[in-house]
Amino acid sequence: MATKIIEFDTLSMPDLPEEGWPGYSSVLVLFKRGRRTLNAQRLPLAGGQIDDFEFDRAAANALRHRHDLLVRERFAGSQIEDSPPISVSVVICSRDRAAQLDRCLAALAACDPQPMEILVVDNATADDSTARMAEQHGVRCEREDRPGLNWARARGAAAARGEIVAYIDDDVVVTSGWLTPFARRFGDPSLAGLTGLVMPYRLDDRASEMFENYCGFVRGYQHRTFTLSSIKPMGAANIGAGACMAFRRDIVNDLRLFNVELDAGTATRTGGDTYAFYRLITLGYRIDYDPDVVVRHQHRDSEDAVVSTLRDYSVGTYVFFLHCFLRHRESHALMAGMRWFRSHHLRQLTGGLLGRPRAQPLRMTLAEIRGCFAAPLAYLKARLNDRRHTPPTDDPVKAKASA
Amino acid sequence: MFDVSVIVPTHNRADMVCRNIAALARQTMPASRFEVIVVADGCEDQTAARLQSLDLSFRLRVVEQTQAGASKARNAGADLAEGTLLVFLDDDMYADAGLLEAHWQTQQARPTLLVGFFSTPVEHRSEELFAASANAWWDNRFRRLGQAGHRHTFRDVCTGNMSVSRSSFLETGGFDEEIGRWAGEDYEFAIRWLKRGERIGYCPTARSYHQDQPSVDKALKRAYDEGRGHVLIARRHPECFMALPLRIALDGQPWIRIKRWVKLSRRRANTIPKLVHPAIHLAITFRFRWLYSRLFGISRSARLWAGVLDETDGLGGLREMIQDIPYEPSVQDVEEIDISQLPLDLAKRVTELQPGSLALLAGTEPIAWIQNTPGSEPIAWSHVVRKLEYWLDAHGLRELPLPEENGRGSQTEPDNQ
Repeated sequence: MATKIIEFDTLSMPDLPEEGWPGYSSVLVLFKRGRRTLNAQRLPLAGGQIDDFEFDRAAANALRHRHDLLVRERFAGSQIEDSPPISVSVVICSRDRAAQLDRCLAALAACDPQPMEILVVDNATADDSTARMAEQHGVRCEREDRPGLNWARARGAAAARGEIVAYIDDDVVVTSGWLTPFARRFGDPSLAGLTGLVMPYRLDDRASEMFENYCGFVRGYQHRTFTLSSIKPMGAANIGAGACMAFRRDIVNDLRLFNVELDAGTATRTGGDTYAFYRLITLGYRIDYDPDVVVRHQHRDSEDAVVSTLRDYSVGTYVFFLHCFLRHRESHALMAGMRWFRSHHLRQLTGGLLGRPRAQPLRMTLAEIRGCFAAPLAYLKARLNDRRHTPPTDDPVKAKASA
Repeated sequence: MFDVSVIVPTHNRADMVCRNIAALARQTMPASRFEVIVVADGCEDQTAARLQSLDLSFRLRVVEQTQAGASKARNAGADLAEGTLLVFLDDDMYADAGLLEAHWQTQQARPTLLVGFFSTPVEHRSEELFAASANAWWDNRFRRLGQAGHRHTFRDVCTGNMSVSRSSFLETGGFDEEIGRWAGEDYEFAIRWLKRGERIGYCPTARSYHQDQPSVDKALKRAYDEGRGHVLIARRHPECFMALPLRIALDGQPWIRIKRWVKLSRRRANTIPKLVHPAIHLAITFRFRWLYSRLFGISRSARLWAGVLDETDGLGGLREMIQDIPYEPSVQDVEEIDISQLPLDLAKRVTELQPGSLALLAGTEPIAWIQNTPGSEPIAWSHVVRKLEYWLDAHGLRELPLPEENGRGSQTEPDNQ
């Protein structure tokens, strides 16, 4: 059941390996054209070998998907990136995962163009393994003692020196050209944030396949723009994933975008990235999703871990709705929560009970529903924790309201 | 004597204009190369005196005039200016440090009517429904301006942050002062500018920060002013009527039966906003987005039409005005270019021809058609490429021959945009 993941550049047209990929039953091909992403398609393997005709057809399909790139090449030359370079600070927040951080930093060292700086935020690691790993790779390390991914992100933004802050998770491996679109995209001053294409790193086991299937991060292969007029604020989760997102540093710091008790390490488990997107959208900013920014995320390696991740995402989703309703008086939030429950959980539940082929396994749906009911208590715990540790003057929403 | 003259009209906003003028001292351009002219348009709050008392490193001249509108103020400032390049800035624009240098450098490379970027800074952003949607609208507008191959029209011009060479400005005739009492003088100036065959440009590095607080009342008043101003534009340039927002309001959309009903009566156009106003504020307070956007849309449309009907003096006058408008764009000067031949100088030829309308063929098969739209800049090669991106799907592309060996089909614009 294993799936091999490869990249294929339709410009340089490299040869596929003679022996194929023995041991794999399918291959996920990410078709690219130079540094631009076309699309990704899954092709079956017979004895580890790919059918040439199928492959050519898939490549032609991918080119058709982005024919505008071909037109540009034919009539306007290749897209020369002539935007002025922009300084990017890559921030990685890590806690107790030195091995994965090692892999992440190694990939960052090999990417081209190189970011202005790489900053590791040691989020309350039990020992000094994170700091030592950062030192080994020769990158800056900041310590954030307060556990919580959002607090680490806030610390990273405050300590960063570049014009753009790009957050990636420590279990993410970047591809070599991932920073290329940044200069062109952020050269447009009306852009506030950018999210990227998060492909899976490996799909060798069933757990990774399940993760990719039921809570994958891919949001399509077309460039998309999100503003208040094109997306409902409650749909902020569709904008992208916190595994690869970038914002202008002064916006993050002035809005105190991540100064809130949400996401991993807190009672709410997830939701910090969705909430940041929501705040930017409701203030009228624009966020783009650019599939040319490609990174690869290491999915969970056991089924139990996948189930508990799904539960965490569910907690985070409903906490997000609650927070928007209670703190931002977003009248649509409760409706959105109920609609999501009905259209996603109930539908998956009935599908699972009736044995429909494409429905989620029952175990996962039940975990998600448990997450839904755990959300109010989790939110309460997070709010109490927040109040205990944060002075009221530091509350970003109240600060904006009184400004 | 000076390279740049910054012209700032102002009306009773002494605090804001003093702050923004003082901030011009932070410009990267040396103070000896630019001057600032503030035209106080009927100010009663000691604007002139307060400005004169500022201690500045650059030359500041303050001119007072009786209240006559921002256009007259800008024209007066342009007459007095001694710089070769005029930069128009609104009094609520806080200039970024590199603003003047960016305008100057871009104009040196290619003189044009240059529009700069502005947006609301972080500290003024608010979640309030109207302010947020207004900010989103402006950001989206600049996103479209910045896209490769965007064909600029007169609607892309805004006097809040723009630059033009002084001689060209005076040759074009300056801003229209009658329209300046209402709204739309920037559009009308741009129409005359484009009629001279010139181009419009956008400079994203020429940034300023818009410090005004948008409000529903101001927006509705502006809608009324636009109604009046755009009728005046339509009278002066009937062929551009189809490109004005007024025309779009005329078409309407299926659910806007209410809007249509409102449009046809001056009385209704004036009373509907008064009735709907409290409901808008209620929707904003309770953040009912859908309700707010519908009610605001109705109100805005009503105010726009109140302005239109006041200017045309009723429905009869409106009908007369519409009768003079040519609905069919004149299809003349059509150049046909066969891209299957892929001549290497295709880009150069398009730029030299400056075609009115352009028809792109592959052999004898038509592929794309770029129309002679009044109020748009002359067709350039990047516009053609953009059209081709839409119109050529992969199938059509395969039909075209491969480029020659010695020229990999790469067509470069003679003067790079």
